[in-house]
Amino acid sequence: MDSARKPQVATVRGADALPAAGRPLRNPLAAEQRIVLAGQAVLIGGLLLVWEYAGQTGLINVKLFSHPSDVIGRIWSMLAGEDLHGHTVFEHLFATGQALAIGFSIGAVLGVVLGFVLGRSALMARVFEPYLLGVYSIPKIAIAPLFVLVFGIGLESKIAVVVMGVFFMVFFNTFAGVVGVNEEFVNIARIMGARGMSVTRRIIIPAALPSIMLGLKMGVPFGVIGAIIGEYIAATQGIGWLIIRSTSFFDASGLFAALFYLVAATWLLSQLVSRIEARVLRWQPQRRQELVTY
Amino acid sequence: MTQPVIEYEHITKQFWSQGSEVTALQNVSLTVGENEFTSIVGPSGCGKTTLLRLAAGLEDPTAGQTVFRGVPIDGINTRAGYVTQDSNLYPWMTLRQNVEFPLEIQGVRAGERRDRADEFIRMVGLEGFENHWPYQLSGGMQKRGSIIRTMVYEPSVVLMDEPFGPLDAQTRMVLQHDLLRIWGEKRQTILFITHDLTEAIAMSDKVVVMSARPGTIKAVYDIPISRPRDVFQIHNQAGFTEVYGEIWQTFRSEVVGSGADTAAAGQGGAAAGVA
Repeated sequence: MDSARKPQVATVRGADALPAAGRPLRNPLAAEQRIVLAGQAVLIGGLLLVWEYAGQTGLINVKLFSHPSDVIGRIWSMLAGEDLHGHTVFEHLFATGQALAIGFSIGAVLGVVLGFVLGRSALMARVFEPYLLGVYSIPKIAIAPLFVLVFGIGLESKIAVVVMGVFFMVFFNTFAGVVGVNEEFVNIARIMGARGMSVTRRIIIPAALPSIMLGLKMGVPFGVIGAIIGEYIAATQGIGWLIIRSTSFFDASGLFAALFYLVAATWLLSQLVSRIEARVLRWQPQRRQELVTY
Repeated sequence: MTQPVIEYEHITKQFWSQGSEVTALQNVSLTVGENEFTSIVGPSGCGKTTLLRLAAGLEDPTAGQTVFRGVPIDGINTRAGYVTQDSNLYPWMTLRQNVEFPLEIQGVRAGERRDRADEFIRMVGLEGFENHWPYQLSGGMQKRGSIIRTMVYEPSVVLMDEPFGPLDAQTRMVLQHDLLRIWGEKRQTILFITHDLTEAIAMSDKVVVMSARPGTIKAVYDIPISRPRDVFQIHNQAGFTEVYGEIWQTFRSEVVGSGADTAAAGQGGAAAGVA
C-alpha cells in the first residue's frame, strides 16, 4: 500500500530485535510480509484447486458454479476479443467506465461544493441535514427505476445512479473535513491579512483535503456499485449488463470472467486514486490506513 | 512611559461554559507601550490568553474596550502579529512556504519573498530545512518556524501566547535567546504570555502579574536588568534575584493560594526552585 512508510516502521521494530554483534541486520517485517504473501497464495491456490476438483468430479454443478480452468479459458478468450452479445469485453468495460467517469466527476464536484458550503455555514447545514440524510437512506436500487423513467434506458440513467453513490461519500467526508478545520489556522491567516478567497484556497481547502481524498477514495467502489446497479436495471451494454446476461444464459464461466474484469478494473481505479492521494497528501506524516479494501 | 500601543480599558470578559457563566477577566486595565517587551504571568486559567485574543480581535469584551493605537478594536486586528501556543505551522506547506505565506498574502514579489524568508530561516539556524514539511521538524524547530513566520512580515506589534510552553528547558533558553536577538534588532512591541516567572523576567521590560480566575491585574513591575541580557545565565545578572524575589511574593499568593490550581502551583514551585 504505502511502501514509502514501511522502511521507517521496520527500523523501529528492528531496533527491538537487534541481533548479536557481527550478524547482519535482518528486517523482521520483510520476513513477516513474505509469510503473509505465502499465506495468501496458499489460500487462493487451495481454494481454486478445491473448486477445480469439485467441478471436474461433478461434486458441484458446473452449469451453475463453473470451475477455474473454464473460467480462466473464458478470461483468455475475452481478452482475445470474444464476442459477448455484440461487444467485446473491453467495449463493455468502456461503457461502464464511461458512466462511472462522468457520474464520478459530477458526484465529486457536487459533493465537494455542497460539503464546502454547508461546512462553512452551520445554519445552512441545519436546514439541509434532514433532507440529505433522508435521500441518503434510500437504497440506490430502490430509486434507480425512477431514473430509468426520467432518463430512459442507457447512459444517462446509469450516470444518475453513479452520481447518487459518489455524491454522498464525497459530500459527507468533505463536510466533516471542512467543519473540522483547525480554527487557529484560519485565525492566523486572517490576522496576517488573508481574506475570503485566499483563506479558502490556501487554508481551508488544503486543511480539508485529507477528508476530501478519503471521500473520493470511498466514492470509487460506491460509484462502481452504482454503475453496475444501473446496468442491472436499464442498459444495453456494460459489465453489469454482461453479468446479468450471462446469468440468464446460464453462462457461469462468462459470469465469473466478467466479474474478474470488473474486480481488476476497480482495483486499478482504486490504485490510481490512492496514487493521486499519496501525491497530494505528501505533507502528511503518516498517511491514513486504507479504510476501504476490496 | 512610551506611546501607548494596546490599551485595555476596564475589560470584563464572561464566557458561557456548560450552562453557567464564567468570568475570565474582571475589570482589567493595562497599557502596553511602544517598543516595550511586556510579559503577563499568572496561574493557568486566569485569562492571559483571553487578553491576547482581545488584542488580536479574536474575542470581544463583555464590558470595556481594547484600544489599538488609539482606535477601539472591532474585528480581526491585522496590524498585530500573533504567535499561538501551538506552533500551528501549516502542515501542507514546507517551512519556507510557511514563512513566505504572510508575505504572499501582502503581495510581496516571489523573489523578494524568498530572500526575506530565507534570511529569517538563517537567523534562527534552520537553513537546510527550507523544504521540509512541518512534521519533519522537531518541536523546537517548528516553534522557531512559527515565530519567524510572524516576525518576517515585521508587524510592529507581536502577541505571543506561551510560545515556548511545551519545550524542554534547554530548547526554551535557546529560543528565548533567539527571540531577544530578533527583538533587539527590530524592537517590535511584544506582549508575551507565560506561566514561567523566570522567563518573564529574563525577557521583559515589564512584567504584569495576574490573579487567579476571575483574572485581574495584581501588579505591574519594571524589570531593571540591563540589556543585552544573557538568558542562559539570567540568574547571575545584576538585579535578577531582587526583582525575582519581589515579584514572587505577589505571584506566590496567586499560584499557591488558589488551591484549585495545583498544577500552576507546581510550576510556580519549580520556578522558585530554579531561582
